[in-house]
Amino acid sequence: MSGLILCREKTVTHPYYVTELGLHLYTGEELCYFIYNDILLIGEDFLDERLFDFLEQLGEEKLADRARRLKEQAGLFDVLYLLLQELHYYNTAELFAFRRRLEELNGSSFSARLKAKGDYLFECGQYYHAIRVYDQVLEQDARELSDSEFVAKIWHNKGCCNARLEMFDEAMYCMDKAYQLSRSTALLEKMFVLSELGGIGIPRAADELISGGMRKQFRTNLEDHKKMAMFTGKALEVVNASDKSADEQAEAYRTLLARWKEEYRRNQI
Amino acid sequence: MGLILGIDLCDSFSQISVYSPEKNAPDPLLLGGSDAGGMISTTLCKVKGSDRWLIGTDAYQRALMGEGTMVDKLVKLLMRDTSATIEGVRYSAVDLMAAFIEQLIRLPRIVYKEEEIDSIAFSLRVLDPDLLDRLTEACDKCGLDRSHVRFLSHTECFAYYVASQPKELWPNTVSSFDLTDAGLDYLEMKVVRGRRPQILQASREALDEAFDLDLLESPMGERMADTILSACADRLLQKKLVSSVFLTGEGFTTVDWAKEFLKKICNKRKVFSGQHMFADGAALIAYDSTLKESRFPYLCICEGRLSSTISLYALQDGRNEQLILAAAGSNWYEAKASAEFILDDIHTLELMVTPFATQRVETISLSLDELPARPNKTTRVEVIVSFASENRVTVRVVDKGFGDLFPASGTVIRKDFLIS
Repeated sequence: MSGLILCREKTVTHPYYVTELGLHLYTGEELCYFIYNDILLIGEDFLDERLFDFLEQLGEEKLADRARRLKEQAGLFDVLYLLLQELHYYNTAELFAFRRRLEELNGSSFSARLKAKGDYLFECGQYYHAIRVYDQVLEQDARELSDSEFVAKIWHNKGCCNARLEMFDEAMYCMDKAYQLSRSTALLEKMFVLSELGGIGIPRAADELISGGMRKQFRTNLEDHKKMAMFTGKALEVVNASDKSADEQAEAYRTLLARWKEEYRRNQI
Repeated sequence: MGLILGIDLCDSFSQISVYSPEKNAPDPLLLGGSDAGGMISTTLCKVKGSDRWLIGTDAYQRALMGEGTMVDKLVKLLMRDTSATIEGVRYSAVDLMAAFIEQLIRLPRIVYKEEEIDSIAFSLRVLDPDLLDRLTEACDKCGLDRSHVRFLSHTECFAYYVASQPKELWPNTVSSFDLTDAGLDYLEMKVVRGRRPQILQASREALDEAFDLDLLESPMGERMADTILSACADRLLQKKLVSSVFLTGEGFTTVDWAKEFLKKICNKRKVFSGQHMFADGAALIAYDSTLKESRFPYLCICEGRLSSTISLYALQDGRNEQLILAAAGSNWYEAKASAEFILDDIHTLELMVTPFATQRVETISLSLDELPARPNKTTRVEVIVSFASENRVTVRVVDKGFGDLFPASGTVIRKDFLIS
């Protein structure tokens, strides 16, 4: 292999906007990367005129036509595979791996696919989007939601999203729902943490199950986590900025704030 | 159709040829109808108390009469990027060259009653990158469209001039002696056959035997000059199959003084003497650049042209292809090329340099370690190849990021290479 892939010369005037991630795609290579890595975010609605217009802007009119026709004759995954194959960003081995992933996804239920999408959005920090996806799962008919462990996980994950957004009441409600289905002690601890952070009460039924010893252990764990938090994540970023020289410090803080604002804005979509 | 001009721009004299589509040949611009009228002194004179500039003999006359201030050696001034103060105003070398070019191109505009210039090519003894930059600036100041302006070496103009002559004049090597105040140059052109396209290989050698043209003002000096040139002819033409010899430059305005030299070079060869070879060659190239397809189906390798092809391998539509960034035979000053690539598990950029004559590939490498660490295939780079001369190449790699996913860092990796 040469190690270089010649980029397509055409640039688009109207980039493709990925709502879930709050970002634009400007080139065929970026579109391939998005399809390959964010397949969980892609649903049937992805194959709309916006996508075909984008392909036409890239000078891929024939491919756009083929994709339109294939959309009618086959499914989403066949069209995605066609795009990756024809845009030549991934090699044969990578396409083979992609095909395997598509087959795995095809084998899973609709609810499981939705859950995976929600989980992926959570990982990307898109908490509002993730909540909407988890709600979609919970709206499925009873047959899809027959596994109580699965439903408990959905409530738990939705609770985590709410907690990240500091919506502690909603988070507590979700954790309680999850607990009712799974009876896991770990969930009791999470409810305890929520009550401490949000200054809210734990639902009575669950609260009564937390013994004095458990409460003490949960508090110790929380204190440890708080101490750890000083050396990780955003706190660490602030420490790194404050370590800079006086001249660079102001610029470092400005950059950090701008990034956090951007992340927050993306999350609000 | 607008004017198509070839200008031989030298420190002492400049010459203009106007390409005539009717005659299908360049036409020297001869002021006053004589051959000497084609030699325009590269001199500028600002008329006292006015904004009027004069060039050539007019400039000399006004200055001698004390009616203006004269500046000469304009090419040298431009090369050194110095300035001249006239009537308390400081003029940069670019300003002065712009004033000179403006007056120079007025001449064919008046004679041909045509303002529009479709193509203009300047022929220069030496192609220095700084000189070319300043000359470009001067042309801009004259309102010349950059896309219509070309800068060529004397060597290239000589090669094209010869190639435009009947083929019986150049079945073998063609030589030229250019004798001016600036020096004595020996130029040579031959056709490398057996390749498609055929190669015109031309070179120039500034001879150490150069002498001041004042030497020709006395019979003794003439004899000495003749002896010097005869020795040069012996050395340079010996054991070579030379079909024709062209003599040019103000030193060869007459050849009566060079009897011995002529005897040597006229031996079984055709010999021509004239003053417009470089301007004519430039006009031919200027005209050729207006055509969709060149009339000269040759690859020209000479001063000002790249003698090696620079390429790299990249995946194009899934196939590993050789991508040529600069082809042998291109004018180095115009050969800047760029292309964008995605890096796929690569830490060193390797460019191949293939000299036209040998096909022996050399590799030049550039480390990409300075680029930001990102997941594989998420770094888009622009590779820019530019030249400071035929054999000095600069490679720049600019980080372009990967859209909104991985914003560009602005990192630029640059390295200069010497190529054969």
